[in-house]
Amino acid sequence: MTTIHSMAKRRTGVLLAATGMSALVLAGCSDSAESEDTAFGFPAAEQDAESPITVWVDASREGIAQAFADDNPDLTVNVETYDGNAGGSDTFRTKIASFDQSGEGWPDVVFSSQTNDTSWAGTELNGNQAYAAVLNEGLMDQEYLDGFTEGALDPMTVDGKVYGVRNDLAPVVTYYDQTLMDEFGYEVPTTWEEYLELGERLAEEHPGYILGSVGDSFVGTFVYYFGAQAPIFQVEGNTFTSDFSDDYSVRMTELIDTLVDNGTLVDESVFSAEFLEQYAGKIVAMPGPAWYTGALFENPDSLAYEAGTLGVANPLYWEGDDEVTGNVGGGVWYGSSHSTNLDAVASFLEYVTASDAALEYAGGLPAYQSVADSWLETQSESGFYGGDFAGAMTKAAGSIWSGWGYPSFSAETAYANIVVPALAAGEPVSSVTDAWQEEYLNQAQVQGYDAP
Amino acid sequence: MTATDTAVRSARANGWARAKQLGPREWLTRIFFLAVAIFFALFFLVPIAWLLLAPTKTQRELLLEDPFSVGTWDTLVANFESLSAYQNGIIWESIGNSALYAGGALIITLVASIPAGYALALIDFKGRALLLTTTLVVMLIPNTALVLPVFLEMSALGLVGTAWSVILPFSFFPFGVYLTYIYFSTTVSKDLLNAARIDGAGEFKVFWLVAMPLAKPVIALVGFFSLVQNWNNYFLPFFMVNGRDYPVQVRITEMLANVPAFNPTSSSSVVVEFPVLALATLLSVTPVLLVFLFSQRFLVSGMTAGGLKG
Repeated sequence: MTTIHSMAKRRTGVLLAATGMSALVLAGCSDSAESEDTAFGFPAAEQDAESPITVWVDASREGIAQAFADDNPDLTVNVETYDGNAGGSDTFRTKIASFDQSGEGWPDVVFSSQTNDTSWAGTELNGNQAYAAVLNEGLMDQEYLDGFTEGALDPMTVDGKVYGVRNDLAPVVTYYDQTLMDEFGYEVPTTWEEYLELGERLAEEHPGYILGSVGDSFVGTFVYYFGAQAPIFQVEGNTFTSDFSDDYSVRMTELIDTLVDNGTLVDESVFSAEFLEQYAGKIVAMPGPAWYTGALFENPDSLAYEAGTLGVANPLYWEGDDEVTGNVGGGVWYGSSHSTNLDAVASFLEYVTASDAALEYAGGLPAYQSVADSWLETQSESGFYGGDFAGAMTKAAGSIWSGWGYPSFSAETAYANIVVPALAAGEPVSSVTDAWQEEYLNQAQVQGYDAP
Repeated sequence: MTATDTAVRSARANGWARAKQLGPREWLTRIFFLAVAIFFALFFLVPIAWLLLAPTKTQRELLLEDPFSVGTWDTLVANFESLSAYQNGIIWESIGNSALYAGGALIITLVASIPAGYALALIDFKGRALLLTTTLVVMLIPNTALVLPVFLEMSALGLVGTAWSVILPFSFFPFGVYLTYIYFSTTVSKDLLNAARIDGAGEFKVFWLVAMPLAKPVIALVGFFSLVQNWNNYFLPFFMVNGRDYPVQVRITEMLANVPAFNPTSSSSVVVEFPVLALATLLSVTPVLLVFLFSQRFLVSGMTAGGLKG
């Protein structure tokens, strides 16, 4: 019995010691190792050129990160894969928040597949220094930053400070089936008005053929409303606004409702079995992001078009208005403001975006202009697409509407929760725009934005 | 004909006789309960059947063909090869990591919780009631609520990013202590232990030579529950380790990010198809399933122990 008593006493002692230690740990967590060296535009840690760097990438970017390590044998590069902060996972933010709490452990470079992380990564949170390093105040050459496609760095720029570099762009262009166009005697639409007119003719003359889908949340928001300059998702400073009564918003809502009503816009997801079954070979034209090429049209498991069938044309604009378009995704590279080897971080960022290796490993339209030009040239040479493939992509990449906001929440969630069910129930989008707008404003308030 | 055969025939005959005597209302009740049972069986079995068949098909077959059509062996092999090729076979490393974390924690859990449960059940000591209550209260706290403070603790100890940062928190298993306490309280007699003490055995000998041999079922049960809980734990290892050190549950989530339908807006050169993901999911549960199959005799006896005690 004595043994048991002493065991219990010892355990109590250990517990008290552990509790005390935890309290000390928690108290010490807020200590910062950063110095006051602000040569880069932020308080940087003491630098050590020998210091290894840790890089977080998704599986697709592992190759180029490893290539950098191989090309820099004097530098230790720890390449670690994660989910790439895929939509909804919030892994990047969650992990950085935990490192902020412990005061150590931040990766030196992170790739994120989302474009809106600057909203938190470029901001001081709970007294902790912003994770993302400012790139345009000494860390990176301005000449290098100027080499990005116009507007590519807009989502990562706050108050003139650039917090990340874009990996790839996903501008919206117009795809069309040349065979069907010739057969039906139609012209490729160049404006939203022509697109609407084509939809009305198509429904009357060739029912069953379509001009696209609004069943995916990224399509409804980024392809149609973003591309139509609809100010439904805007941020200025800490103020979020959403205006579905604006003329641009109303015109796009009417366009969608008209085409959904006559059956030329459908509500099946482009990745769904139903879409493949019912509409393969029946898409006359469809606005969509640059990555539709690999994900849908050339994919043998998806629409699997034959070479020469499809053409690519410029994005759709409002007649007589600014020639701008939407954007659906595109990854971003962030450097850490806590890194002890910022030179290596800068070299890495330049390598993965602007080098020959960036071209070699590109999975989509590169954001760096010179790399994009070479990539488009290679793609055009394959001859898979008719029309001016490179010209349309280049035009679209340089004309992404700058009015769309990139707050810390997604534009897609409200669309998925409110618009998709309404479409499935046969209701027009106009019947739910009030609820949709309210949902955006509610989400903004929850995230700490002023949402009048 | 043996006596058993006769008894079985007699029971069947009685059953039929009772069935013939049932009125319409009893029949309807029986049919209703049978229909409910069949509905729930199908409800749970249909997704499992789909999951088992999915790796035998291509992505296109999975999308367009009958959900319960059987694919081909060649496609299964091709999907297996795709899975093995994903990040140079990282799925196998991840399963190995899961085994290391869950296995390491299992050993520490058994070493800590079995003696603790034994002591709480069979030895009177000061603070016993408080410890027991604390064990119960801690069981009520969701594991995820403890992840951040545990992360800070591991960070202070310099263990974040190492296997210990997962194994040590995994080893904290109050449910195992409580289960062992219940088992010893209801199954092992204090008189038996006292007899050993009268024969001159010390406390350790009593525990090791008398109690432990009787505790095999509960050891199996605690071990199995600990293994399953830790094998399937996502959040703690997600926080503690990175990259190639991820266990299989975190790895599958990472693979999910490479399925275009779930993450369409990312330009990916690495694409994971649905059938490959389904295969990875099946592989991730296989080790636990095998452990269950080989230890179910102990598990069942552990779960029913004490049930017939009068």
